[in-house]
Amino acid sequence: MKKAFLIKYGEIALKGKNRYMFENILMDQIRHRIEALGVFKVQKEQGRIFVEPHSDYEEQEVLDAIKEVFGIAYICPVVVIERGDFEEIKTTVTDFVKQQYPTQDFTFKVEARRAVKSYPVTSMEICREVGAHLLNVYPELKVDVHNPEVRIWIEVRDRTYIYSKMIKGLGGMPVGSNGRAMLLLSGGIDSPVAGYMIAKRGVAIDAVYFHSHPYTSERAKQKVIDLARIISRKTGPIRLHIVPFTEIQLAIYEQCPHEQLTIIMRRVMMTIAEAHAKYLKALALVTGESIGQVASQTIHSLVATNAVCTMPVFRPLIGFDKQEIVDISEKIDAYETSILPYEDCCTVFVAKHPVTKPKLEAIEKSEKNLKDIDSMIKKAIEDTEVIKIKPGQ
Amino acid sequence: MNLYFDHAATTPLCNEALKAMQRMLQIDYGNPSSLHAKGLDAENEVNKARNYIAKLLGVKEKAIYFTSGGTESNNLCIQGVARAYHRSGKHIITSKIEHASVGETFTFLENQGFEVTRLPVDHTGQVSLDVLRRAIRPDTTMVSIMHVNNELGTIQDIQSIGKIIKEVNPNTLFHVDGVQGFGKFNLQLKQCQVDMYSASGHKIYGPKGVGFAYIDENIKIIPLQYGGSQQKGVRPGTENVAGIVGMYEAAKQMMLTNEERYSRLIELKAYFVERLVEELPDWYVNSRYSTGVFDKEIASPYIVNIRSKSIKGEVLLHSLEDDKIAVSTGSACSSKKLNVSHVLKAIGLSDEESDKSIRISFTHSQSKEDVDCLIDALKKNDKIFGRFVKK
Repeated sequence: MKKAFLIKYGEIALKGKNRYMFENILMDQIRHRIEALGVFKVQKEQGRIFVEPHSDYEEQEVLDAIKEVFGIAYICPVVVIERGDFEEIKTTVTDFVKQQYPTQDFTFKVEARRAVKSYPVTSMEICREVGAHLLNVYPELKVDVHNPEVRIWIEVRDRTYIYSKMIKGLGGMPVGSNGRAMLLLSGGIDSPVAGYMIAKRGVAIDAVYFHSHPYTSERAKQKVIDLARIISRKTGPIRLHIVPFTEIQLAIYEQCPHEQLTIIMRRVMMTIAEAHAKYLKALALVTGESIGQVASQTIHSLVATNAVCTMPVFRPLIGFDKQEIVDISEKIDAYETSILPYEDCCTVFVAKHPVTKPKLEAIEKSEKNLKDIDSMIKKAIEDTEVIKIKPGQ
Repeated sequence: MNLYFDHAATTPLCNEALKAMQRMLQIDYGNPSSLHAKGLDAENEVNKARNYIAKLLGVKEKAIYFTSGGTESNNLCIQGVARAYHRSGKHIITSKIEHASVGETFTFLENQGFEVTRLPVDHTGQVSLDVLRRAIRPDTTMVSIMHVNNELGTIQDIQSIGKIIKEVNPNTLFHVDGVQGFGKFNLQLKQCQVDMYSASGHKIYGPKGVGFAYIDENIKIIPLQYGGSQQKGVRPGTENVAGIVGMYEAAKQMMLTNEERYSRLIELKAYFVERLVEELPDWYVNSRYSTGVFDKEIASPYIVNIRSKSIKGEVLLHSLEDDKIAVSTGSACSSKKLNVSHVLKAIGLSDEESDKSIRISFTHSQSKEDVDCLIDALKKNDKIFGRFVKK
């Protein structure tokens, strides 16, 4: 029996004339993910993508890799036969059931689809006949058309596909189908989740991290690199920008009111992130902010931070509770790394009572005290280290 | 790192150990339990190491068990004895400044229903003998007190402690965590009435992943793991032959140069402390100074713990990295956690003071010039970062 993978996509199917573009990007994404696992032919087939192995491969490995691709609704490991005569379909299904299930004593239902209407047997007839045949061969089986334990699908297309497992994909849109954005990545729980969510809508992601040596350790930096690597399994390659931030942070600390430090710091971070974003032709910034989570994320603080940005800032977690964010973080395997206890630059100089309702005029006035801030920002941008992070490293 | 001041965390392997280990890994690679000659050769090497270590500590060689290091040795002695003697009593005593592998083992036993007394220490880190005397009860089965503290370098008076324990309750067993002391300070275990002792290879220029426990032959012990009959079943599993031989060679090297090394280190630490006190007014020494008299010593010259008025220990540590200098904040095993040192807390430092402390640990091959570099780097970083005080 010849095995392959049938991939069903979700939202792309709703697209109009440009659907082919989305399909092509999705196929490219799938090809990238599995190229190291064997030789595969990836092709479109009437609203499906079909991955056909041309070498040895490990099924679970391939499934795991394809599962990481955004834009996929379901992945089905299938058995393929030439469209063939109906008898061949019956015997193949019989063998398939024997191979997939150690004991044949479950309830089942056959679901058929005849995409090629010229095929002489209708889908109703296929269901009925194949079902009857299975009952004949395996007398312990029972039909249950409402709540079967096993559904056996038969799709008659250019060739015939038989499968009984549908593995849920991540949904969303294939990365690269929707431009590029710059993620402000800290070492925490929220920002990797935010990056994941924007990438899920097809946006390619690069990232910027603010490093305050010696106030943050090499381990904190390594943690951010690890987090970028974790999300890159789904988002694809990330160019991680590591911005030296100590000088700016210390200047703010010395020259501005202490309770405003975090807000002013975040405004400078946004400015630097935007400069790097523009250089990479990214169209938006992404942050992990959520209203009211901390002092710098009250609606007033967000307004004050946002005021320096000329690009749109996407905040996909804005209405999420912490636990909801943690749940996604665990789902994408980032949580364990996110909670490692190395200080990140946000926690070093935190005031005991930071402002929660900053006034933009007051913040702007305080910033005027910052001597040479423009040249410090310029220097931080120039001295930024860029690490290329590829999935699977 | 060009200047490594973290020898209490670990040391590089000495050449003698490396050479011996290579031989044991590639030529005399036999399993000591094998019946053939190759096995016998390996067994003989292990016995040679056991014999040497036993002589060094003044105990019988059959009481030495090789383990994977200090943590395992501490666990084996403490858990093994507490569980074997729980019918005689469920009261056990330790101090507030022990390494986590002792402290956490006591916490585990506490959760298992043992009653634990944790003795306080004075501002130098020494356990009060009177407090100890009053703490021992008829149902006290064990006292575990470390020889040399890993964060402060404080040395406990093991001989007096042993004497007091046995005076009050001759049935109470005495365990000493000797990880920072073995190979550096002479400690005759029988004479000091120590019943159990733990040590590690990599603190004395031996390999990591090997250590030993001394457990007096009359002590019942419940092993941590079960398996073959190696080491009388107390510590089953094929012996780490290369590691054991490496540790043995390293210990031999330490003994060859002990006195010379010691006087050199006294001088080095004194020089460091002197310059620090004179030239860095915002710095304090947490450790006790050395007196320079070997047997009266209550502070190890290998370790000095200092604190700044303003700079967080971790910030200073990372800024010293730029000068290619390695120091430590507390014990290396726990510096990943951002908590306050329980040792510095025990000698009366506040959480903030503890957070601003670093540990410098020397080695004999370092010179006054190396100390000069360290002092200069401290001065430089003190100037840069000292003005950014937490508001």
